[in-house]
Amino acid sequence: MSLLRVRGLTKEFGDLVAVDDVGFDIEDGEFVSILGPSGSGKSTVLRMVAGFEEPTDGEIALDDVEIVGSPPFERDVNMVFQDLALFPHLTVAENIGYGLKQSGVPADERRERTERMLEMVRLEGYGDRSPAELSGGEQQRVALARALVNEPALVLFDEPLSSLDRKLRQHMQSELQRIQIETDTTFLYVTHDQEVALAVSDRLVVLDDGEIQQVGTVEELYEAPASRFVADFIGDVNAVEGRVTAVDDAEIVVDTGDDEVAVPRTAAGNAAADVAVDDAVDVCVRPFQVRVESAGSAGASDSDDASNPADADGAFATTGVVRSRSYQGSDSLYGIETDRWGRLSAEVRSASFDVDDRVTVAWDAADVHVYRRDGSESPDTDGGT
Amino acid sequence: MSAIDRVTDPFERFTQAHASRMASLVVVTVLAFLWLPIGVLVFMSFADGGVLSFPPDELTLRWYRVFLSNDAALDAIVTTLTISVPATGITVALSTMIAYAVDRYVFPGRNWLQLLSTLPIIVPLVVTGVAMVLFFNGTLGLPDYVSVVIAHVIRTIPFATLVILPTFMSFDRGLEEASKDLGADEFETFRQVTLPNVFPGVVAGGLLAFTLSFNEFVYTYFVKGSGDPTLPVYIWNQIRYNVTPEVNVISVVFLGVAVSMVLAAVSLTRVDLIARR
Repeated sequence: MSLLRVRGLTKEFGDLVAVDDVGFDIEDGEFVSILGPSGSGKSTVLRMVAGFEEPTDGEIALDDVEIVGSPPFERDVNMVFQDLALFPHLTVAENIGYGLKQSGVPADERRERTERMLEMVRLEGYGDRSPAELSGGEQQRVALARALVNEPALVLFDEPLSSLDRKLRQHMQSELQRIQIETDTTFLYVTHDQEVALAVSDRLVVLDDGEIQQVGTVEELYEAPASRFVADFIGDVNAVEGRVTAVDDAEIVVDTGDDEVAVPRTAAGNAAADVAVDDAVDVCVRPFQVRVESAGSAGASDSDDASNPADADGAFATTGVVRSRSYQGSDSLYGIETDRWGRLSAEVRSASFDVDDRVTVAWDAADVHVYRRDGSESPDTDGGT
Repeated sequence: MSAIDRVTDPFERFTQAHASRMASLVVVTVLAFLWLPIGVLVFMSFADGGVLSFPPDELTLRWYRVFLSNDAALDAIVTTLTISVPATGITVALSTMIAYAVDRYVFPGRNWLQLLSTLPIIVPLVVTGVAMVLFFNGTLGLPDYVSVVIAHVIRTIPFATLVILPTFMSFDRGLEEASKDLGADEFETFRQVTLPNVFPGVVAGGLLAFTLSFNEFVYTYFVKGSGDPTLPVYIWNQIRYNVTPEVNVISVVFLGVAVSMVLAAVSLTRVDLIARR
């Protein structure tokens, strides 16, 4: 039995379908993120779980009890709001104790549990201050404590970290994970920031245009994205246009120009790829899986004509010119204008190239994902390619 | 360099050099014209002389005693309060509702409501005063007391609304959601979150309304007719017939009421906190 069960959840605002037939489960003790671009309907899902929006259709069950229709103050969930919504007329301790006061917890116990929470979020001695006197990070902690002190079945987060700077956000992420484990509470976190989602979550629900794109662990989503959208949204990806010339249970043969490459079905995610002969497809590969070598080097001369895809050894290959380079610490990200497929990006660790260098670019057929181009929108058309 | 530049240049240079001193001079002059007469008035309320003359021969509390033993003056204060207190109550209730509606809802005529409720600030007092006499006392035939309370409400609503509206607008409705999320129902949310956050503004609006109503002269003079005078009307009558230093004392009473109300309003709304935001 799942802690939270969402089925067929739909929300319409007039003609706009903000959330369309969304369904997912959250198990007890999990840290799940709903990830999607702005306008994808992720906050609306959260607000329906909290009780601030009524679904047009669908079910939300908490602990196997249907909660649609019950007001927010009767639901065993607490929310950390995007703007935190700390009560400015109350002290930090009164903010944290607010929920306990509503449920009639006696003052003594209230004080004690508030104290314990302040300790948990490392704000001992801050109880008598006004929220306005605290820094952004400290206010986040108060908001978190205020939600956790009621020991709800589920804590909801509506992008509360988005207002923090990068350093503080990363710190708060690890704090969130620590507190989630210490309190053994289930977290449902909504964000548009894939970095945050990847860092903190056990599982992700990727949402776009109100529809679920994929549900899975971080690894599953990264290694076997179910669509071009997910591939683009979870990390960067290069996409090459092609056409399917043959398909069977073992491989998909793709024509990406004037040569054909057989993509084995074993490659993550391709086993289920729903493509047929003559389908227009995107062949996607992660920048870190792209190999770059100097065109004049011995390695490149192995191939008779480096501008042709080397289908013989199951790889995609072409030549190109380095157009940009950005240093990223342990490796460098190159933008390469290829002769066949336009601009691609490649993450290279050891070798070093300069702008205007001529290079060969290649990647293994086993590393690509093949997606049908049935007008399935990519989140940003210039992303990665 | 053009001809105009040559002409304006010395003036330009003078203003550049003395800008801050000139600004200070203007401020000091304005403040002097504003406060000196009032200062003199307060001082004169302690003067012994029977007429308005300066400087006084001797300082005394004599006129305060005269004032306190003057039943007509004290009656005027009571009359004023019987009008101002209910008028303030009605104004606060109406202004709060107007502010709430304008802030929360989009409805047909929303902009008109906002405009109409502030219109009395712009229309000359005498015009509205005459209009109210004709309508309330003439057309409707209302009793003087009812007319004068309505007149005071009309006079004070724009100001009270202008003070109360910003507190509603700056109130974050996310706080109400947070409260409900934490287990408080609608009523508890209003009592524990909404009210404490808008209350200072409502009280400030009420204090302003009371001060205005307490000092209100023009509408009262028109609408009230020949009944018991309010304090401002009483002063007017006194000055018209015989000027005594007692008038100074009453003026000081007004000043005291106004200043203490404003101070109370400032401390309640914590304007300093708002300004710092």
